Amino acid sequence: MLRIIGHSLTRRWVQSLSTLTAVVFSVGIFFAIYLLYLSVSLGLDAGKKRLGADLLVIPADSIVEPEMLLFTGQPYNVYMNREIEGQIAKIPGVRRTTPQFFAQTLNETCCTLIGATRLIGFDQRSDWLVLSWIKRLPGGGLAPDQVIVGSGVKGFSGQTATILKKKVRVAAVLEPTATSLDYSVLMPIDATRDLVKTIPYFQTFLGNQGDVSRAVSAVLVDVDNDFDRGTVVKAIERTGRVRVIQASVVLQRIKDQMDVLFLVMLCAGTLAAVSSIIQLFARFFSLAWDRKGEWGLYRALGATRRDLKLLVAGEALFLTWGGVAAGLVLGYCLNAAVLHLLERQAAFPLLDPSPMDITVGILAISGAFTLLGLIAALIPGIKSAGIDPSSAMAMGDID
Amino acid sequence: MLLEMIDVNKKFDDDTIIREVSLGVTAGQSVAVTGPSGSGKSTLMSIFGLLLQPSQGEVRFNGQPVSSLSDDERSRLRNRSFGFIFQNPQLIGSLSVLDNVLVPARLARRPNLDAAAKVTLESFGLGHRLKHLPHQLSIGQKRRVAIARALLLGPEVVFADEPTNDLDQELAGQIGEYLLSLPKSGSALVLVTHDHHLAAKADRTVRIDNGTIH
Repeated sequence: MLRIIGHSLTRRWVQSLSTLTAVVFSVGIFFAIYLLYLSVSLGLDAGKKRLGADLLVIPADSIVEPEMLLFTGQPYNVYMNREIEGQIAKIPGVRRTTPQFFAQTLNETCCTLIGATRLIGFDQRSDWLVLSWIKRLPGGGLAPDQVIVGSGVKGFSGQTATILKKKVRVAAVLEPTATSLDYSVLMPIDATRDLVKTIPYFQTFLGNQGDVSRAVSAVLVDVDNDFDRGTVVKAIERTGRVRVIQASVVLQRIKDQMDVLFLVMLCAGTLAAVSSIIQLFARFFSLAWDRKGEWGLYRALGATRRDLKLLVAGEALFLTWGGVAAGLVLGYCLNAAVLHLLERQAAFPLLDPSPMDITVGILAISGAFTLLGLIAALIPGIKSAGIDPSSAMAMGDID
Repeated sequence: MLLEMIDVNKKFDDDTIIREVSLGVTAGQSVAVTGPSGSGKSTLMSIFGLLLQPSQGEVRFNGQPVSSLSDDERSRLRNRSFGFIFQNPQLIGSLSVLDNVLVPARLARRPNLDAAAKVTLESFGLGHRLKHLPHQLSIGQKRRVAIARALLLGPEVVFADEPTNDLDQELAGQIGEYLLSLPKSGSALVLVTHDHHLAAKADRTVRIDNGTIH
């Protein structure tokens, strides 16, 4: 029976290939959308959990895309007076604060690193964010000449490095965090300030904050759960020339944008799938008429009704399973290509779906298309079973 | 009696095509059925070959009524015990000569008959045409492929419906002779033909007219 099915498919190879291709593309598009959706959703969820601070307060006049600040290592040399941290800390509802000082490596011979990478000086006494990632360090903290390197920082190797002409020791390389930390180099805040004092280039960024030792780039704020976050944000904004970035709002905005994008992609995928389903149905529906002669001959030569149903269902399953298998490979490759592009452009983390999630997707798509294939074969299957074996007597040549 | 029909009637709607026909064939016997066009020859063969159910009457194979068999059992009986040579060769255009001959074997789930099929085709002078498609064959070669297909599984009864139709006299003679020699190897032959010369060479000849055997 398998050989008859194989012959039947190969001798109508143009129709078979056309049906197969339609299934491949539909499955491929659906699978790619599914994987991409998981990668983005998981990344955004992880981003929410890992950001570690409810609010990020930066100078009001800084031209900064919040997404880029939160999730990339792009340098931002913005500064304000450190006293702002004290004012924020006094606001009711603010549970804790910690300052950060941003600098950057330079794309010059002064640095080991490739390209301009964000340097984050953090306060080891008040920080709860970076320290959670470096709690395993010997002694629990960094010496002034020690740095921690994000997992995504390129061009870094060995235990020592030169940053802005200063030799530093690498205390640790962070595990991936799916936040801006992955693309940053972390140092104690005072050491970072001392570092930039020696570089005239940075004086242009400091502006009014001429005294580096009194400058901070951002204040990270945790809000007490009992207080309304919006009220706290307004109170912080009233302290002066600051801008408040709410991580959860940024993430939600990204998620909303991605949801729209996925909806568009899903519509495109659905259209492709509908076209493939119509083709599948048309192919098998036409079989009921085109192959009466052949089926009548098979019946006359001894095929049972069940044999013919198996023949029709077998052809449908071969086409759908072949299409599903190739489509899953196509979808995986398509997803990998899109992720590769997104990783360069997206301002949010992308995480790989778990094997369980991937398996669920494969099973769901395979099951759905198998069901569609069988439904498409239902009518010709019923027709084939009703073929009278004596019809072979009246048939002419069979194509 | 290997195969027999007893008091068989066949109606299509209100038309009675076969009337009270009783006919039998024994192992190794050839029976020719003749008659004018539309007399019911092919319908008779269809009922005899279990391709059609009679409206009334009974068909027996080896003494057992086939009406008690399920559709699947009748299908398996056709596959195992009957060989059909249709009026048109009925070859599947996109299958090679060899694959056409192997269709009954594949339906019987007997995968190891390739060699036997080749031997049969070689004996018909088609050894060099195994991979050819039907449209590359002459009408005579197509008939021989159809005969090879009918004989591959060693049927107990071979049904041939106008097997020499449209053939030139020489080729018709060759194929007729071959078919009439089949009973010598044990197969019964039911030959439907309007060729009186061919029919006269069968062990027994019956004439059907207006659905009735004379």
